[in-house]
Amino acid sequence: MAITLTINGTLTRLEAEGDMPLLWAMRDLAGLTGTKFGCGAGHCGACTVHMDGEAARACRVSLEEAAGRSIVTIEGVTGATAQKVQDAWLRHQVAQCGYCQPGQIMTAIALLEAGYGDAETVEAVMSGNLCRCATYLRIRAAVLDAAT
Amino acid sequence: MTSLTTSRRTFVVMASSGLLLGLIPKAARTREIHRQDHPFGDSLFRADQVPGDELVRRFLEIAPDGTVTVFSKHLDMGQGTWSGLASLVAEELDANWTKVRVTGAPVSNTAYANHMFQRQATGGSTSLANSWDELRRAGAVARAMVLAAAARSWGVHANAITLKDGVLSHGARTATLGDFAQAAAHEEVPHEVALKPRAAWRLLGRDTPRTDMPGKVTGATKYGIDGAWQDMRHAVIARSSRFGARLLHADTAAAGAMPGVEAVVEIPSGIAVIARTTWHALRARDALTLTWSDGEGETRSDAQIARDHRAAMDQQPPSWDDMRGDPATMLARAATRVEAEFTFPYLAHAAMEPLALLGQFDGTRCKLRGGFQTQADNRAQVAAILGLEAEAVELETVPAGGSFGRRAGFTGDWVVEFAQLLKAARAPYPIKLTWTREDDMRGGHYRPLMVYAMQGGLDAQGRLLALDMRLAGQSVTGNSPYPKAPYRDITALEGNFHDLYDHPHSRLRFFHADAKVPVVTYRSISNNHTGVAKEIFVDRLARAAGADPVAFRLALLGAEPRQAQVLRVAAKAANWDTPPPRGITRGVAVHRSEGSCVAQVAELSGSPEDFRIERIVSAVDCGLAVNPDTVRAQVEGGTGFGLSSALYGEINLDNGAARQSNFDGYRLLRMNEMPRRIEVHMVESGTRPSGIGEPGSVPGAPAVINALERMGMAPVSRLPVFAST
Ligand code: FES
Ligand code: FES
Repeated sequence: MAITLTINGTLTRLEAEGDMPLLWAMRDLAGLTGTKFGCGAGHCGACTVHMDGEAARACRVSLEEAAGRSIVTIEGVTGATAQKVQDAWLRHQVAQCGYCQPGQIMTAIALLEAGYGDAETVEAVMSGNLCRCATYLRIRAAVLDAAT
Repeated sequence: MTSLTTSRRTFVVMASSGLLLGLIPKAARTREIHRQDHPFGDSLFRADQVPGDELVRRFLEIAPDGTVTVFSKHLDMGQGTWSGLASLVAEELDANWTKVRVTGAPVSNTAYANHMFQRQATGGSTSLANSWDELRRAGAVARAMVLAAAARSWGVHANAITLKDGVLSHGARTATLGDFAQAAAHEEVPHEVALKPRAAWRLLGRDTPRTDMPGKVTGATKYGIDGAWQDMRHAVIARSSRFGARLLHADTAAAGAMPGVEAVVEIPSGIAVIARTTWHALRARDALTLTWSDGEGETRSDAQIARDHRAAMDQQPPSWDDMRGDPATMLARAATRVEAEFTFPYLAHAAMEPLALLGQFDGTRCKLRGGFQTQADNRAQVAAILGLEAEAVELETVPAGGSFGRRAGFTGDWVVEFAQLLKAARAPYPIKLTWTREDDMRGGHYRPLMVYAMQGGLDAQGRLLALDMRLAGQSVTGNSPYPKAPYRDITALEGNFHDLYDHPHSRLRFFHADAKVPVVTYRSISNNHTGVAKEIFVDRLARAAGADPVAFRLALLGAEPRQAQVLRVAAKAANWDTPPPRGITRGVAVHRSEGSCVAQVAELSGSPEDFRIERIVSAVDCGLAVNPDTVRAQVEGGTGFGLSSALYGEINLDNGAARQSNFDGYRLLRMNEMPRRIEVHMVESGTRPSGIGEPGSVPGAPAVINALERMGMAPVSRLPVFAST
């Protein structure tokens, strides 16, 4: 079947089954590999995208659920908050292997856009995203920096 | 509507026409490389006997637009090596740092050998030490030739031209490196080049931003799992959950009939499903009905394996036995004896990027793309399976989303299996194989389970008189090109108490104890257990002696001045000699690994059941810090990595199969469990770098465990501290 959704601002028609996870649709059909596969089970946050402006784990969202919605991935994220967050990531030289970072950045942007930027909330929310390289101190510093 | 196809990625072409690299005539011969002193002993080699033009050809390319491309023989798996290596070239070339790119070098055991292993491989935190001479020299030779070309063109003396940030100037005239790259190829290759004195460095020794950071922040970086070639299909493999079990019967009809499925093929490790997308392949894999042999392969639990390892110490001859003095007599005479046993569990590397490979085999040639860590071995392994000459196998190495040793195994299991898949499929299209998290976590190739039995004896003054230590476990050198036991297996023994602390009577025995669980290298190799056991045990000895743990260690570090120095610096920075603030308990640890020394003081608040690591003060001696910010980052991240293993990391086995399969069962450290602050103080001891990708991952965990024990926690005998069972 065909599913229509907006990906990074462009109305897109995907030929796929409705129960296909958004993660695989992004990666294997839309060619947007910035959305990472880390666990496929909602545990790690590597696949975080924005769905209608809110952070969502693409491995836990089916194409059917995403139909008609607006999906933004790391490749297409724009705006003042995104700019601030990505600039802070560069300033703090956050990434090591970098694999978790698209998910970290997408989570951070959604968090700041929702109006949270205090240390406690940042730590509580960002603790949901795993980083095996343990770049956590720099992630936290960058989010707090971008929040000011 | 968007276009949904991605174009085939081109492979690195080394001799592009019109570029400096391609125009230098091939050197007649490559002379021998000589050994020289280094913290690693004599295992690193100097590259200054390789002709300059050969070095330039191997390692860099200058495009007409001034872009400098550095070819890295090492894999970047997060440690910042690509950027660090490029900075060596760019420093001597006086390139504009913003125009420097890095890409993986092709395969060659001659041009791109790791001088420590004499084969192309990344490991042992050796990358920068390895390339320190050859890459700076490559940059300097290229610089001299570009300047000579400019001097000829402008009719001035080369000395009169300034070169800074990739721009050449003389009077009112300016040009970029790219303007003279082509002409430079016709200049004479300088026999000797002077390298910059330290005072002239603009990139080295500074917090130079990493070349890979922008791509990792915008999502543009393409890892192995992101590979995409035209007409590519996606594959997953169904493997046995129990180690060593054989596939007896496979019913693949239902899977083969699922929508999107292209092929279902049998390979030695199981059944591969090839489909239109990864998800179609996964769904079809669920529809397979597979029968595996029972009673073959590993059938024990991890607890039973630990008991068997422990029993091996009493029943088996050691495969390594090293003694000095008379430890048995002196232990019997000791005023105080301290005993400890430790079990270190199997650990999964759990890199955030699951293993993945892209490749195509057309019957005569094979191309592979992935995060290869042992390229030349991998190429030979693939060639052997496909019946090809090594030259018919091309490898494109791309950055890895972590490895921590998983990609470095001697057998190249994950590359071999993929070659078997390509061979069995004989497909007219490229195939990308993706491991799921479950495949990765249940797939073995773990840090081996290790068991320790240690005894120490103190004299009446509280000095360490004698030590007896035994350890038992699997060796990661199984199927390696290294000799078999009995020999001093450094992958099991490096960093142990017997060797690193100076005490008169001592014995070390290692027992090779087997299991059918595949094991491989893990970040810091043996130090992730030898160092942790050593630092917990020395702290217990200090407590039994009623001694200050810093002073107690210093008394044992007479032969290790660099370790002693970092320990003093960390202690001073943490105000060790003044009591900690109320509610804070301190713990300390020091270690030397991969040629570098790290000491850490941990400060904990709360109780053993509910604590927070408030601060970790570190002192680091990695010879010379090429990029201090990368050193800090490696120590911060390494500390978190070591803590994750020591506090939570554990693979349990039930009937020979891993119990944990994803991050719900295999717990990783999270941001709210990270030390609140990690300070890193640099102690410079040399004029060349030693490793930092691994040494920062060792002492943090024992420092924290020592603080917990000093807080009143029952002495640890089994890791992780917070075991799931
Ligand atoms: S891949 Fe979606 S949360 Fe891990
Ligand atoms: S930077 Fe490697 S997993 Fe986060």
